[in-house]
Amino acid sequence: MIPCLAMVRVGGHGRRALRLWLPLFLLWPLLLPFAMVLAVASLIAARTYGIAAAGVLRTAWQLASGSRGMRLEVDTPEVAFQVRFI
Amino acid sequence: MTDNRMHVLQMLAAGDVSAEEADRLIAALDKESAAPADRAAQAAVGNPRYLRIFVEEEQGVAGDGPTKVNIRVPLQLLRAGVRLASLIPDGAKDQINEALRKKGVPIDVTQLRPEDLDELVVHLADLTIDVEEKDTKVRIFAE
Repeated sequence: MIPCLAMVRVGGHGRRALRLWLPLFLLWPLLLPFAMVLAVASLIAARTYGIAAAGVLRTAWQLASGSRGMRLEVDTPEVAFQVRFI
Repeated sequence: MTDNRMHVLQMLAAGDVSAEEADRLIAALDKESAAPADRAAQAAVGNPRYLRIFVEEEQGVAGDGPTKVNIRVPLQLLRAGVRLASLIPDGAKDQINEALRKKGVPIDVTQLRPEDLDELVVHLADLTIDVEEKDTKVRIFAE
């Protein structure tokens, strides 16, 4: 399952934190036409270089869906930054 | 109380089995009922889902205070990355190997196979890397 939401939190110590919930599920339909073009280009490239085209598409999907659950937090004296894919 | 346990107690009450035998039977029933939960717990432990990396520095890069980094990477993403590596054409793999050797990284990308990674991921559950230096602590483990 591809990530549906991204949470970005930026805030400094002693400052008000900015928290953004980004609805990625709204973004995916918008990116679908680009994904189709990219898929066709990948298929052509895969055929040119002798790579299994189905494997390329499957791996691309797994990369997209594998990012769900990823979390990155950086906390420095100046700023605290957090990104989560949900 | 389960039916089996009740049956053992009835056998004890009827004098069909001694107290010691009933105790052994009940212990065996307890072990049997606990086994599925143990197996589930072992499966959960043996199949980690995330790679966790913690870095803690007493003084950050600018030297102005502590810095903490906490990263959680889904192992599914790593699996997909290895699958991606397995799609690289053979000619390109040789070039990558050569470039890695020049950089002092003796990794052969032709040996990267998804099935090997699955085995590695299972064994990652038992692995914890702790590095402690004067100002820096690094901890890497799978959960």
